[in-house]
Amino acid sequence: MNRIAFVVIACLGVMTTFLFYLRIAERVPTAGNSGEAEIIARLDRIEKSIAQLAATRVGAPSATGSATLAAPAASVLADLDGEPVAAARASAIRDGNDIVDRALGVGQWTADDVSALAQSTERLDGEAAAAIHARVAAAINSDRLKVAPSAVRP
Amino acid sequence: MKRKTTAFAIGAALALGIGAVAYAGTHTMFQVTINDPGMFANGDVSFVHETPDVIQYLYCESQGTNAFCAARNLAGVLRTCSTANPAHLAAIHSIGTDSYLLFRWNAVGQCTAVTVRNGSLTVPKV
Repeated sequence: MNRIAFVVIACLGVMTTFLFYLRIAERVPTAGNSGEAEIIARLDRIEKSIAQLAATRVGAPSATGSATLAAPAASVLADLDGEPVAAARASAIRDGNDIVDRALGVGQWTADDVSALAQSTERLDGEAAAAIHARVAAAINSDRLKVAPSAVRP
Repeated sequence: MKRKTTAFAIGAALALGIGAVAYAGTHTMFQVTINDPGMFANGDVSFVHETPDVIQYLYCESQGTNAFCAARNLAGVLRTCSTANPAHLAAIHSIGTDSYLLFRWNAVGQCTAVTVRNGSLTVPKV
């Protein structure tokens, strides 16, 4: 009887020890578990970055200073795109006005002036092109500019 | 012989009658008019096209986002204006060969109004 009880208690002890070992083993990070944790951590970081970028794009500054990250990007765009476009526009306006000024100096609007002005204003926005054409129109309407027969049109 | 003459007379009458119906209705026949005090010019595009002189013209030219209009009357007076106004551009883009056109200008050469009329009032361009 005692022997049976001893065996049962021994078995229970072994099982308890084994179970205890299993629980500890579960908590100890293995190579696989640590990789998983790292991926989760990375995903968290990516998620936070996306949220920060979204906040920056709608103009809401976030606590992490993402607005300051957005500002250099905008200035780079201006350098790469905005300034040359603005410079080309200014140059085209200057060229167009020069053509008008030259014609006003002579008092005659020729076919060459028509084609030169068309060329310089073809890439301009409507407002800018119309402003230059308005100068020609005002000069014609006030008889300061005579349209040469070859020009046919103003 | 008499039958042939009658048939010819009926045919001629029908032809004339049909012609009369085709050209019925009230028509404006405006040459290019330039009114400097009022600062406007107008005319019927098709009628001006049909005038025997080679002096008058009336048109608008569009570049899509800007346009200008020009009119020269029989006396050789030319008036013009320039615009980028979307309402003017829409009117200009509706000009057809049989349209009536009026445009107004200001002291700096801008168009201040562009009026286009399309309908039965003008005689069609031949």
